[in-house]
Amino acid sequence: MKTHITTTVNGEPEEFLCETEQTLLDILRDELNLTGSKEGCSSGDCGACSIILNGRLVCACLVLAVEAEGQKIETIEGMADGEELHPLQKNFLKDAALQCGICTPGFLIAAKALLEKNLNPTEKEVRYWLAGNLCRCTGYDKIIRSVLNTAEEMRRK
Amino acid sequence: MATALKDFKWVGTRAVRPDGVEKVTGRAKFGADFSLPGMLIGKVLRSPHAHAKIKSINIEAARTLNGVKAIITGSDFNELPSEWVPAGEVQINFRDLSRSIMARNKVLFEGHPVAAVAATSEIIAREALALIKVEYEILPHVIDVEAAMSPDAPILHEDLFTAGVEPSPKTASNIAKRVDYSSGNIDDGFKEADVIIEKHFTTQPVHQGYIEPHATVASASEDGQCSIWTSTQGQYVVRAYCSEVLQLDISSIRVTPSEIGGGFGGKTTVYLEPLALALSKKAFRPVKMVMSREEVFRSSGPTSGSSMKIKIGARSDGTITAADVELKYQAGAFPGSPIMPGCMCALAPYNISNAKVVGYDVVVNRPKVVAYRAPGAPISEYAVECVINEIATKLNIDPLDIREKNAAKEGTRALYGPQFGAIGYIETLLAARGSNHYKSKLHENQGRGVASGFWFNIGGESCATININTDGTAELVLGNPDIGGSRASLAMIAAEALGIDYNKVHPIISDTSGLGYNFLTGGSRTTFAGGLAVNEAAEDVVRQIRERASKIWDIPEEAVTWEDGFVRPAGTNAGNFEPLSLADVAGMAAKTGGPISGHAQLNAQGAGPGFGTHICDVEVDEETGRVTILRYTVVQDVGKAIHPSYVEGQMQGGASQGIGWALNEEYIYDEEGKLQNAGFLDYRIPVASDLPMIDTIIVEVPNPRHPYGVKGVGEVPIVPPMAAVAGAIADAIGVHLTDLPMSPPRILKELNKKQ
Amino acid sequence: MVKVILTESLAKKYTSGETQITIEANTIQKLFVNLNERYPGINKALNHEGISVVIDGEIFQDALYERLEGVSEICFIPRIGGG
Repeated sequence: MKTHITTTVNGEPEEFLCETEQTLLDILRDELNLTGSKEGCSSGDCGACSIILNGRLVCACLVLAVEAEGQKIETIEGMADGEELHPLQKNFLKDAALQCGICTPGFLIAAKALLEKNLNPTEKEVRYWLAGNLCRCTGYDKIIRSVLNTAEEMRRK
Repeated sequence: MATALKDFKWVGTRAVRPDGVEKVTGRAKFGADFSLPGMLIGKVLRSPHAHAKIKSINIEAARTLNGVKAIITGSDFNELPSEWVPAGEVQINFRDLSRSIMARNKVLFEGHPVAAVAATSEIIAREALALIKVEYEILPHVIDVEAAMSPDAPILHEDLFTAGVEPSPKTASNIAKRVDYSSGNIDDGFKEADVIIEKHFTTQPVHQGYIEPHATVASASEDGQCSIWTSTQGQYVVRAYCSEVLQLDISSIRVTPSEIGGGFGGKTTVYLEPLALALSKKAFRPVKMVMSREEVFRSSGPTSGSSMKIKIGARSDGTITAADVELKYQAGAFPGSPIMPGCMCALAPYNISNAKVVGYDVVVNRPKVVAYRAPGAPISEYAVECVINEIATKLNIDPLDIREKNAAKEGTRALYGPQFGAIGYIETLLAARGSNHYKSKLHENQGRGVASGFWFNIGGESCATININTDGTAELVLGNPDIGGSRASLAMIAAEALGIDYNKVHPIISDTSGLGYNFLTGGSRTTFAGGLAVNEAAEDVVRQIRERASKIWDIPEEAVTWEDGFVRPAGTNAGNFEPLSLADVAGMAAKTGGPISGHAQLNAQGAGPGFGTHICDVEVDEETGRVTILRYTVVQDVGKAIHPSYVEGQMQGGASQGIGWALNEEYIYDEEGKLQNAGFLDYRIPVASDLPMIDTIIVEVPNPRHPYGVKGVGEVPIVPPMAAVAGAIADAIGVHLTDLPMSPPRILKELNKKQ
Repeated sequence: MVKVILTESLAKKYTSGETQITIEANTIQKLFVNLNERYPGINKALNHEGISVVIDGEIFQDALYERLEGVSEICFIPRIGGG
C-alpha cells in the first residue's frame, strides 16, 4: 500500500504517494521529475544526491521517502533565485569547477550548506566538509578554490 | 598551416562554457534523467559464479509474472564469427563483445549477464529476476594473471590458441597473444652498463570510476526503426556496435547521446544498449536500463592488472645502455587487454639503443577490460619509471637529469618504429626543474618523486557543421559527446575562425542522424580532431560569405577578402564598398543563394604525441603506513591550450586518478572469485581531503599539423603519477616499492622489514 | 623507393630477419600489394587487429590511398584507440 506524503520542495508545497521501500531520491527523480539530484551509488558514498532536509545536508538516497512527511526539502533546482544564480553557481562557472558535471549539483548543495554554517572556512575545512562528495574529473582543485573564492566574495558583501 | 601563433581573441582565454548553466542548475539531462511515456524498466540477471557452465535457464515463472513484458537470454542473440573487424578507429571481435554483454553456454566472470527482463516497474523487474532459475555447473576459475598463464590453469576458452608464437600452439591456453619489440642487442647493452636494476612489479585492475553509472533508454518501433538515448563517449560507436550485435541496418538505429557523467574510456563500449534494444524489440515499448554502482564494479571496466619484469642498465653517467621489459596484462574474460600500447609506450620517452619488450595478453575470470585513459601506458610506464628512479638514486644523479640525458627528442626513433616529430618532452623536464616546487625543501619523513609519461594521442574521423543564422549568430553542430569542456574549446575555435563573438556561437552535440560519422570522444582527440573539422567548416562558411559578398557588390570573388570577421574589397581597384560583417551578409542570405552553412568531414591525421612530467611530495606516517600527498605539480606539453582552465582540469583530474591508482584502488576477490569491494566505500577513489591543490605548468610546443597548434591533453596526465608517488615514498622511507596499491598495510610491512 | 621498417618478430617470420627493406610503390595500397608479393602472407599478419601506417614519423589511421612521392620511410603500428 502506498503512503501519502506532504512536504515542501524548494519552497513550494508538494505531495506524493510512495512505497515504503522507496527512497526520497527515487521520488524526487521519478515522481517529481527533479532529476538534478543524481544517483551515483545509492549507498551514501558519492554525495551526488546531496539535498538539504530541514536545514541539514543529507544524501537523498539514504532517506526514505516516507520520512519526508512535513519536512522542508531543498534541491539544486531551487538554488538559483529566478534568473539570479547563487554565488556558488556563478563561481563554479567562472572557475571551471566542473568537467562532466554529474557531481556538480551535489557539490553545490554541500558547499551551500557549508557556507550557511561557516562563511570563513579554511581550505582544510572545505576539503573535509566536501569529502563525502566524489568527483572523478577535476582532482577537486578548482572546486575547492571556487568554494573559497565564493566564501570570500560573500564575506565582502 | 600556420604554426606561428598570433594573438587570438578567443583561443587561449578562459571563457565560460556554453553548457555551464545547465549543469550548475541541475537542468542538464544525463543518461538516467531521460524518460519516455509507456517506458518499461529493464534489469539484468548476473552470474553469481566466476566460471561456470550454464546447464539450463528456466524463465517460465518470470514470464508469467504480472507486469513482465519481455525476457531475453543468450539464445536471443545471433552467433557472430570470431574475427577482428574494423569498427571506427579500432578493431572489434563482435563474437566476444556479444558474449561479454550476454553469456551463452558459459559464464566467465561474477557479474556476467545471463538474462534480462523488462517490466512495468523496477520492483516487478527485480521480482522477475528472482524467478529465473539458472542451473550452473561450477568450474575452477582463475583470477591472477600469473596463475592464468601456468600450464595447469583452468582454461576459459577451449578455442583460444596463443597468437604471435611460432610454431602455433596445438593446445588451448589463457594466453591470447604474445607480442614483442626489439632493437639493438640487449646482451651487449647490459655488458656496457655500470649499474643494472632488475625488478618485478604488479599493478591491480582499477576502475574508471565515473560517478554516473551506465544508463540507457531504447525504443524499437513496429516499422523497425530504433532510437537509443544513452550515456556514451561515442553515439556512432553505440550505433555501430548495436547494429553488429543485433544484425540491424545502421540506418535503422538513431543514437542520441545524453550528457555524460564521466567516461575515461569506460564508456567507449556497450553494455546495456543492445540489451535494452533487444528487450524493446520484444515488448515494442521503450525500455530504460540503469546500472547500480555494484553492477558498474562487477561487470563494467576496469583496466588491466599486471605482472611485469623490468631490467635496465646504465653507465655511471646515467646513459641507459639496455632495457629488457616483460609485461603480462590481464584482459578479463575475453582477449583484448591494452598490451600493445603498453609495450609501445613502456620505453617511449627514452632513446635506448638496445631494448626488448615482450608482452602477453592473458584472459582471466574477471570482467573484460575496457579502455581507461591512455590504455596500457600507465601500467608499463609506471614500472619503467620506477626503475629509472632507482638507477638515479643508485648513481646519485638527479631524477630529472637522468631523464634529460636519455630523453626522446625530434628525430629519436621509438622502439615501435617511427621517428618522433616536434615533441616537447625535454621542455617538460626543464619546466619541472625550474618550478618553485622542485626548488622547495622537504622535512623529516617526507620525500619527493618525479616521473614522466608518454601517450600517442589520436586523430580520426570527425565532422562539423556551422549553420549561420540571419542575425549572424552561429549554430555549431558537433559529433562528440562533451565530457570536459569540448563544447567550449570547439566554440572558441569557431568564434576565432569566424571572427564573431564566442557567445554568438551555440554548440550542440548531434545525434547520429544529424551529422556524418564521428569516432568517439577518446584518445585525447576531441579538441584536436574536432577542432580541425570546426576550423574547416568555418573556412567553408568564409568561402560562402565571400561568394555572397561578390554577388552583392557584383565584383569577382577573388576581389573579396575576409579579415577579422568582415568581407572587404581586396583593394581600391576592386571597388569602393563599405566592409560587411558576417551578420550583414547572413541577413541577405535568402537573396544571395539561400542559407549559409559550412561543413567539414575529415579523418584527422597528425595528432602530436604527448609528454608530461610530474613532481610529487609525500609524507609517510611511520606508525600507520599512511601516505599523505603534500604537494603535486603536473607539467605537460599540450601543443596549445585552447581553454587553459579545462586543460588544467584534465591535468589535475588525470593526476588524481593516478594518485588513487597508486595509493588506494584495487579489486579484492575472495577465494571463489567474487568481488568483495563493489562500492565506493571499499573501492576508495581519492576524496577532497585526500589531496592537496594540484599545481599545473602548461608547456606549449605547437603541433605543426594543427592550425592552432593543438596536441591531445586528456590521457597523458594519468601516466606519471604512480611512479612519481612511488619515487616520493622511496625518497621518504628508503624503500623502492613495486606493488600497487601502496596502501598503508603494504607500507607498514616494508617499514617493519627495514627495522 | 621507400624504406619500410618492420618489427623484429615480423622480420623473423617473413623477411629472413631483415627489419629494413626498400620497396617500390607510389601509394600505400600499392606498397601492401608489392610487399605481399615479395613476402607472401605479411599483409594478413600486419592487418590482424588493424593497423596504422606511419609515414615519415606521422601516424595515419587510414592511409591506404596516401601517395608516397617524396616519402622516405614507412612503418606500421597497431591501431591506437585510447580512453
